[in-house]
Amino acid sequence: MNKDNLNRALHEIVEHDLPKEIDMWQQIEAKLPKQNKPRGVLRLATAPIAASIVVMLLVLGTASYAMWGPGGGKRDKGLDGAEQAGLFTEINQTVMLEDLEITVTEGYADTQRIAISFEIDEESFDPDADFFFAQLRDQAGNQFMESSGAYGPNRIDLVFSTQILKVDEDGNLIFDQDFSANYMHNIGESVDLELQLYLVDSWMFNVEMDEYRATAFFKFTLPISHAETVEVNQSLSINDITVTVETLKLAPSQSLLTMCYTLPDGQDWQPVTSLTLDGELAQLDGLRLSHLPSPEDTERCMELSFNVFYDQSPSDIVFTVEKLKLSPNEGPAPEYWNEVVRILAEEYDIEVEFVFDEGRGQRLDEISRPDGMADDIFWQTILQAQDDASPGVDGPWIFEISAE
Amino acid sequence: MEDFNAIMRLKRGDISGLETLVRKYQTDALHTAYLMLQDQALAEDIVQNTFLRLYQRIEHFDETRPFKPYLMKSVTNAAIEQLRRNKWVVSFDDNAEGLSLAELLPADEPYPEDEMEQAELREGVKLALGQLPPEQQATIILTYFHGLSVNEVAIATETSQGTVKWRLHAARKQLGVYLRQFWTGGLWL
Repeated sequence: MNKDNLNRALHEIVEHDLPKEIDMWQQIEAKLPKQNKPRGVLRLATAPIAASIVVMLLVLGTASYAMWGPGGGKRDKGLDGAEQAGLFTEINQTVMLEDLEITVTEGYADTQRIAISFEIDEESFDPDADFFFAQLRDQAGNQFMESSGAYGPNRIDLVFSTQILKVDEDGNLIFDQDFSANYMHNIGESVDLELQLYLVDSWMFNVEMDEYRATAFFKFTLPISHAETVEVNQSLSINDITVTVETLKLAPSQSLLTMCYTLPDGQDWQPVTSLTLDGELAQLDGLRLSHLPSPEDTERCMELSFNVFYDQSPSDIVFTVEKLKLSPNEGPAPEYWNEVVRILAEEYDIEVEFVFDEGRGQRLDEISRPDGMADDIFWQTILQAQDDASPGVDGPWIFEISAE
Repeated sequence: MEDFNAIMRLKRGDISGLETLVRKYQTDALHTAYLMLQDQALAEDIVQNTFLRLYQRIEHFDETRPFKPYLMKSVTNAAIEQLRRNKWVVSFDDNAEGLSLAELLPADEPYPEDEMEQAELREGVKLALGQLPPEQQATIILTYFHGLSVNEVAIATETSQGTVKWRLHAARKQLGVYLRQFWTGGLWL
């Protein structure tokens, strides 16, 4: 047997023994700590598929919108406040992408986020054939990486974080932590931007950049609203759990809080948090783990971003950790799954069965659901029931913070 | 660039980055794990857990490094660990000493065209592979299935190029013995 035949035999083995189509994403996703998924708003940024979803949502209406959380259909609180305070800058540039008329209407930038709004001429828009995604760069070619989105009648907002990829000498985009962290702080009072929209044929996974039908550029300058940083450094201990708030960065459209807490044990415990700014409840946008505990180190640190408008005047801020909840992905304890089944039946009229599959975890078998309940609502309810059934460590840990 | 973007998204807590990596590499990863473990459910577990560990430790991953060798290293290490736990590995057969794969099974032997013979060959290769020490299995699969160079296999298995060459040599020799024994009806597994 020569090398070629061995290679052929090995390939024939996997082709013969394994299914052609393999998709393990759902099983992997089900095992992830749920809290680490982005919440509240759709994240789309550099992922073309997500950008396409924004367009899809525009035409599907509120039934699908619920999938993406309570803030959709309009801007989030932070950007809404910034717009009402007159911090958005008019752009009003119109281009034709084939027969599709697109107008970039206005934009906003602070040290946390950049938001750009545009309108689509609905009459020429074909939701079955027209999808697009966007890239935002500065004039040097550095590219803003991450974004979320919101939609409204005839309008789409793209929201980019100010994390930025740096273009190196060879023209490649690289991530430089220092460059990214300091970029918006060092650039001055305004940023020159180039938005590139790509029109593509269909809602595809892994669409390649060179597969677009048409593309358009918009160039504009946005003033930057800078953030204030409050050094909080407060710790509270309740039920043997210490929670520490380190810093709070207040940009007009978003507040970024850094907190740490001790884990009760080696399992995945997640904080249930809220933040109010002068009584206004902020929307949790997402979180980023900044310190992962090792078996010897049970402290976990994270950055939480909250969408709320900060008018740059003295404010009273309250950050609360209501409780720590054990991730539903921790352990297939039968009583936990029984409780999920009970909650679903009694509170939501959903009948399901969880079957433990050795080596693969829990499998959910649906028995019945209320008439007309859409899939996204159904799955959202399942997750909610899992959340409700999770064991927890009660707080609350309440931090009162003043921004002078 | 797609891998880099996906890793950076994941580092920011956006699991769409993980989804991109899973969808792109799950097939290669599963094939590797399956060839070593020869158990689909076990191989799927290995691959899923490898991606979950990646997610948990993404803060420590250097995004400028190529992702695929890193993933293959993780999958083969996990499979090796599994094999060590659950499987008795027979020792090297002294009778093979001094004989090459080509000597044991002539290199010019054509690949069987008959379906029955192909099936028999697949079973023979699987059984023979299963008899190799885990490190040699990984080396054979990365070399002859994925087509990696000696240097790439050395990176993926965290060893020297000399060790990779030795493992390939030993594995080929041992595979030849087992395959011959299989076809002559002398291999009891």
